[in-house]
Amino acid sequence: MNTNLNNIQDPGFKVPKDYFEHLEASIISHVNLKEKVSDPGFSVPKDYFKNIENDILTKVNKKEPVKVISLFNKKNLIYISGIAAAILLLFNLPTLNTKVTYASLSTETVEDFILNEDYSANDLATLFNDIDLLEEDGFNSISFTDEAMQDYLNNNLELNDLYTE
Amino acid sequence: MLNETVFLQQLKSKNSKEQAFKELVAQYKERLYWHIRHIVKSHDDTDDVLQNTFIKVFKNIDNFKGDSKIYSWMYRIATNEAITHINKNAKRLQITNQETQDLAINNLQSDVYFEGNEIQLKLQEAIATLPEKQQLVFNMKYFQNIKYKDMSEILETSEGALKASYHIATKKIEDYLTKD
Repeated sequence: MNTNLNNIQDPGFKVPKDYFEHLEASIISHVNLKEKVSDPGFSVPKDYFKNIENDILTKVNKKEPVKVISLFNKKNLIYISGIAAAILLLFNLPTLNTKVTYASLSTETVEDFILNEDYSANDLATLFNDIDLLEEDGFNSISFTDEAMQDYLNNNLELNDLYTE
Repeated sequence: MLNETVFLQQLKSKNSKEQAFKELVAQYKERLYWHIRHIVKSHDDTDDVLQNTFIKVFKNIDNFKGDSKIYSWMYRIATNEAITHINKNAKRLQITNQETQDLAINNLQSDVYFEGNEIQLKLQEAIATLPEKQQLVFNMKYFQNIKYKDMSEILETSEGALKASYHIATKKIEDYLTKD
């Protein structure tokens, strides 16, 4: 690098593009305008700035009154009684409070449920354990007539099924 | 005024808040008044906005973190309050913001606190034709001579953009005044 002072011709400063053109136009506009009108023409009431300070400080120090809202006005009573009624209904409506027991279900309801829910014979079998099917419970004590047994077998069994059993 | 950080501490301290705030009002009341007056035009509206501005400053000083100067923070509040005031008036009268400004200029003719002549009134008309931001820049530079550096902090705009904005505004106003 040549550090000889005589060789440094350019100081390195730059100005934005078209700076001098804009500067000239800007100064001329400003000066022309100032010549025409320099004062906006607004005025203020006498002693305004003297008094405004006190006005502001008074307002700032004034404690805002706390607004008291009565719980027992008509509007609030309607709201509160509405909410109370809704809670009472929620816990007391008979449709929401009925306990379902097996005893209260009719045989048709159980049948419809089983048919609609598409339970297979295997699914139903899992609902019973061995104890349910013990002899003492009377499962084997149910008497079937020979005719009823024959009708059942004719209607429900294929010969092939018997072979596979 | 004291060092800004110390002064801010005083404004936030319970014991010295009132005295420091009094000093703040004394220091900035006139500057903020003229800033607001150039936006809303009428003295009565300016008085309302100025008082609201200082009340807001007092209430929010504890939340001010000192990211900018107190001066520019207050100017920002004053600017927002003044613009909100114009918007509220427009809503109340069910007219546009531009119509509200035109109305404010028309009212100047009968305003006892406007002593301007024909050309001064025309200047106000010309300013009202500018977009909101250009109006702010023009008023702050032309009448209040605020430095671009400070204006940049108040309006959160680069100095270059502000200079360009001021130049365009001046040119438009000059054209408006010489068109007839």
